[in-house]
Amino acid sequence: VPDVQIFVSFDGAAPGSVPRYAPGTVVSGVARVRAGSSVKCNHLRIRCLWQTEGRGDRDEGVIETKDVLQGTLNAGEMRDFPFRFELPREPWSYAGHYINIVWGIGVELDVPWASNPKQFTPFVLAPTWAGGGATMR
Amino acid sequence: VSDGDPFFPFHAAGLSGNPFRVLPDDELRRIAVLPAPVLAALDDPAAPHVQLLGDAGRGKSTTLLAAAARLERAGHTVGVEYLPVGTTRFTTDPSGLDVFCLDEVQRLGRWERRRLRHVAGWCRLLLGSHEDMTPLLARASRAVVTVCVGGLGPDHCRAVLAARIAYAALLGRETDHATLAPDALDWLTVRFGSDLRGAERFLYEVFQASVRTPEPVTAARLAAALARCP
Repeated sequence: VPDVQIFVSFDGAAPGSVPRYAPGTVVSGVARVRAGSSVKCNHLRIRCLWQTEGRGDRDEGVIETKDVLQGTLNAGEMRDFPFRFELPREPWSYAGHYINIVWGIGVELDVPWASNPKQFTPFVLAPTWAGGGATMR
Repeated sequence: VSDGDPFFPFHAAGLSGNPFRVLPDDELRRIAVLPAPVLAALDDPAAPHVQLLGDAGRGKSTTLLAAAARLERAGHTVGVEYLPVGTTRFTTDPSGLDVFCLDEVQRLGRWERRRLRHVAGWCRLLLGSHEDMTPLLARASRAVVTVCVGGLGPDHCRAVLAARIAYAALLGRETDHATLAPDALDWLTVRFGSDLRGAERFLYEVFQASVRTPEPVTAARLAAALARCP
């Protein structure tokens, strides 16, 4: 795997925390990519997706993909790529015994003749309940 | 934006999720522990054919994927194919390949075995099989190295399980997460032997049901879990 570090931060979220978004809202933030050595990059894709995790094979649904770079990242270079995705109303995040639905921002560098460096940074898509569960906002 | 931790019960244990969840192939390749005999065969300048033998659940497929990835990184053109249940033919066109990696070779029909024998004459093979394919490769120009994955010993099983847990560690919690205590690894070796898949399924249940802190999981805890759900 090429020497590349990927960090994703969400607008308005404390570093290290998992932000929560209501269905139908917008997730935005910045994907920061730092190259330890020069890396030719066929594509740098930022995807908003959900994936299943658990006892069964992984399934996933990609909401949108942005191809933000085709070129070379030079050694020591650090670049920021802002993203903004409109979230659908479902599926909601879910944590169960045999299956979990995990939403996240996936960043992947398509690098020729090497394993692609990639990073999945989770967030929660779920409604918040107010008024003793009577109202959903 | 608010705290979403209730959706990530393993975060309190320093883990991104259950370390023993099913992983996709590309992630398995990243964390696979290649046994020393396989490494030696892969790096042998004579480039022998390699076959991995063993019963189901011993880690053949994962090892095969990792071996293919290693050769790919070394600059070889590698084709990988898995033969699902009921399949008797391989569909990869091996022309142009340096290495053909075929899993579940015992499922091949008679004529396909002959075709594979032909391929073995000019392309390096990495095979995963329940059945010894040495006779099939006997007339190939290369030597054949056979590694019995079920006989790699407890140290290999320990390394595989430890790699699964390390991979699940949260960023910044690499040394502060739930893990298996040394006596738990010994207990697993006695209980499951080389049946890694069985051990991983059991550990999935244990972690899912009870691991919520960064403390090591002990043998006593595993034994109690087994008693509750034999």
